Amino acid sequence: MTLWLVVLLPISGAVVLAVAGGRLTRRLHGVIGAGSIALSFGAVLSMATAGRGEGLRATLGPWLPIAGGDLALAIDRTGMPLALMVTGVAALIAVYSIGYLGTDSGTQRYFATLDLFVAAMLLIVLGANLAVVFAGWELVGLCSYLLIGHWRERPAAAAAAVKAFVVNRAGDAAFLVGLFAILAERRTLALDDLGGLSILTSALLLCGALAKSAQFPLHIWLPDAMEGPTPVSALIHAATMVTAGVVLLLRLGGALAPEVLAAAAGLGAFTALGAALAALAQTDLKRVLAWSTISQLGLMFVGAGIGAVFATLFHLLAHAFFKATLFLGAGSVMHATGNEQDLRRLGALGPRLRWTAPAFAAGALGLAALPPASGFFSKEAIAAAALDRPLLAVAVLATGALSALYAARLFALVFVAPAGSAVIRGAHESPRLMLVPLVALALPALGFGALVAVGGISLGVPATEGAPLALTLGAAGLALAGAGLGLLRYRRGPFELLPAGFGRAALAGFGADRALVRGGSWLVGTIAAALDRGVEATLQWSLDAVGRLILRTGARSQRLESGFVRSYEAYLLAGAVLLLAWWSLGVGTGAAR
Amino acid sequence: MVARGRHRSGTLTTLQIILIPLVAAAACALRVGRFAGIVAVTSGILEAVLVVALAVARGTNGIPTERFPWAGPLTQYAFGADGFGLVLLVLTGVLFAVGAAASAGTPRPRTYYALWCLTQAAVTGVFLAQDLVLFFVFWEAMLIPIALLIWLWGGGDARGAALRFLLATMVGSALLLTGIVSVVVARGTSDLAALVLRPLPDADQTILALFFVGAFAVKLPLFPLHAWLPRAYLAAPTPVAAVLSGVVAKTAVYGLIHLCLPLFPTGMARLAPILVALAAIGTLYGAFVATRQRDTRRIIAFSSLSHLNLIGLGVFSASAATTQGALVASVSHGLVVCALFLLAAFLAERVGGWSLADIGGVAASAPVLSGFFALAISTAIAVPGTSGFAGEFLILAATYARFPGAAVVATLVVVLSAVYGLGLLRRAFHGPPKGPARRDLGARERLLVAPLLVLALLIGVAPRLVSDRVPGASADRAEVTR
Repeated sequence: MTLWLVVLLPISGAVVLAVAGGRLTRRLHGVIGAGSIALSFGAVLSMATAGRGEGLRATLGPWLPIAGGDLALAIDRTGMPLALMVTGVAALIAVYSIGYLGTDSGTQRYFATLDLFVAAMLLIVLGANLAVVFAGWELVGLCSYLLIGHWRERPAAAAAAVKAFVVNRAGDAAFLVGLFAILAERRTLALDDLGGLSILTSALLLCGALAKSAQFPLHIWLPDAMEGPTPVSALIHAATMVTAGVVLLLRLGGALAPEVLAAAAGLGAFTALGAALAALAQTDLKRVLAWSTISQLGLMFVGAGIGAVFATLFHLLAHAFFKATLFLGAGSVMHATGNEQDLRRLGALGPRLRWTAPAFAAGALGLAALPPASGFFSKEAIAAAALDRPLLAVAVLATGALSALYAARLFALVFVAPAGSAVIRGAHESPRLMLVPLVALALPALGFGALVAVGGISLGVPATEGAPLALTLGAAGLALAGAGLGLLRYRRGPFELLPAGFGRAALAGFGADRALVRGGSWLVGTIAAALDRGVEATLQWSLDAVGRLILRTGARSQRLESGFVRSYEAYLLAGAVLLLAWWSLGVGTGAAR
Repeated sequence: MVARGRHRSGTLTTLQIILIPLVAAAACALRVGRFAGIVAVTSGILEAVLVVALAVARGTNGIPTERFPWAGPLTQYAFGADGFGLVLLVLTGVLFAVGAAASAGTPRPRTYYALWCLTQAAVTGVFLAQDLVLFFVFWEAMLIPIALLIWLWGGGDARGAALRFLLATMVGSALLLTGIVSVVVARGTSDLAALVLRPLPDADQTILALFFVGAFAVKLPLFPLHAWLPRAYLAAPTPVAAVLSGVVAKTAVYGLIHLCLPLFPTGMARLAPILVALAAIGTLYGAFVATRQRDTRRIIAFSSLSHLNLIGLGVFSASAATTQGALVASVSHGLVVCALFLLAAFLAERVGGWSLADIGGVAASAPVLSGFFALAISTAIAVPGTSGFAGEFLILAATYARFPGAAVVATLVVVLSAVYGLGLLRRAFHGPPKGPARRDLGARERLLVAPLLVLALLIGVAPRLVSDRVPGASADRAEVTR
């Protein structure tokens, strides 16, 4: 039951906030929101320290009337570290949110949704069958929709929220059909009983994973999702929800067809490289991080696709820490500068933000994968696992170098370069309620990787062989070169590194977004218009025509009676005629045999 | 002793259920004046409570048929309910009670509530009839009070809408009458149980099934027989539209499951491919057209069309598992469409019209209305944890096993429903506030909608409360192994 407590605690927080939140103060919303998540973290931690981990199962009760459709949780090999990360990072971000939202009028909504989100994410991580996983899968999408659109009076936020949900729903439709196929083939959705799935079924599940984890070509919703409050971006669009696709691949593991896993790795490598280039061109603080997230998720897809469970899980956790740090740091920067996000207008904040700057630096070091920050060890693990597939390995290493470059660029433009505008002068450090979680996340962003690498922390998954020395040195060298170039180039301010045309294309995400959104809305709009103006109008017209015909015949005979009675007669007449015709044809009497 | 006493008086159980709305109708027509509304609400609550109490007390999924002969041949008292009917009876009580409460302040209340209770009685009779002649009588009895409610209390082109509704359903009724007479003549009985025991020859089943299906397809309505629906939903007073879509459409679902499938197993199997195809197309069609609407009632109307065709898909693909899904989806759609119509009416009262064109940002001043609306839309677009998901998932999953193509086509509705559902929320509630601050939901309005949404969530978390009333997937498997 402790296992279900993990999920039920945040849910009850959400329910309390939704039902009674109107009568509570803003501060209390935050306390309930963060408190219920912290309690959930405590429950996971107590299980972990008690040594009750892998293999634990708990069924709350029946849900859908199908095999493998119960409300059941189970901890598999990735469950414990993921649950710890989700609840831990979420609790810190919830605390940060109290400070960040300040006097926002929507704290009740915000914290209720945040609590529901954590519960839903835990369903994905811990669900014992695909029905529960899918429930969590869709619910995190709903929460993401609600939180992206938190500032709902902003048209851009409302539009981005809908876009995120609809794109995710496209992936969910494929996921759903995949579930139907599994049910038809295996007659159960229990995760234990999934053997080798067919290529088609595996591909359908992969489509779901691509949308949720913002992989090409379904990545288009994530950059827009930055319209949400920054703590939401840190939690949902960096550390947890967007990793759900990777989690799904890890949890399904060997059940997926090898061809599909290879496709996942290929798409991941392509996305990783492309998104890293796009990140390099962005001029918006949060959009750099969004593209970077897409890129890092691509690396995880490479890892999951080649079956490197340890490396993928390692990078997923390391990324959660350093990217959440970066986002919270970005939030602190925006808080300090009155929501300035334009990199060209920032700069010189290092001396002014004495806590934010080093914390952000820790996150950037992790992202740049400079030894000894977390990202170094986890990226190296993925590169090592990909060594026997040269193309993938090159892509991973190149992405690493680019990541270092744009991470250094980001840090330089925000903290080192000369002030880009007057907003910098008024910058002030954020309140302690924001700084404490920020620093608490910066520490694992720096040290988590090394701790895992030396065996201080076990992920519960057997570690892969150490990387060859040449790879370690090569990766470190690439990261150093990238970071050095970035710092040197950008410390004096914005500077176009990429050729102008290429930079513009990269800034726009190489046009995939526009093409897909325009194509998609054109398709839906055209079909809908054709059906509405063509088919629907014709049907309406035919009904009217039949009606006029009957009414006219009726009107001639009986002027005095109401239209009702006339049509009632017409109908009785029609019935009699039909009946006669029917019997005269001998069909009805045939039934009498 | 108590148990036996209950059993003996149980011969009149079904009569009690039917008499509740009939007596209420009579009471409304008499001189109860301003209490008519209260009588109508009580009638709905009583029906729901009585049926739930019966089911719980007996611990069975149904009411055994109570029958005794009446005046002459082909007339008998034969009422009862299987699990499917039982659940729909409860839904009838709930929605008619909520709808009656939402009708407060209607002009000419006595006539209105009398017709209202008559409709409830007719729907109740349809769900209880175990005899074809009785079924037809109640089926027809639904028409006139509904048409009058639309005509006399409706807005806009009420007369045209009522006439079109009558016309379309009467064509269906003519088909149904023909079919029923043929079956009764062929077998010499109208008792359903007796007819099921002696199915008609395979050769005649297809054409006979068509007559029955025709009537139900118009009432559901199955694509492309839905031309009456948009006008009727638009013109009808909001509570009437709510029960018309929420309950009356379910009489068609019930007719298909209760009459067509058992009477014409071979015929329905032969017709299945085309019916399944139409239902799958209709599911998408309704959703597509809904994405283009800018009037809340039209969005609800076409979204309803989509949901009802999805339920039809479950019925036509005809396995026990899809029947479970169809039942859950029927209840879910009934709850959510009623909630949506009421909420849309509350919104329209505040912004002065049903159009979404000139409104926006209502959430800023009416957060509770916005929240309720969002929850209702979440159910309509089948977010897990709501009843909408359970019904949709069960139908599509079971359909996939038999008609994978149709299931895949219909599954695309999850994308389109998100487009029209979230589009509605965005246009009405999000963005910068336009116009003055809107009054938020009052206590009475919250009390009307909250039970529907709570039930939708309850069934979403525990769908087996509903689905276990009818045999499920295990029955399918038994069939396969046999």
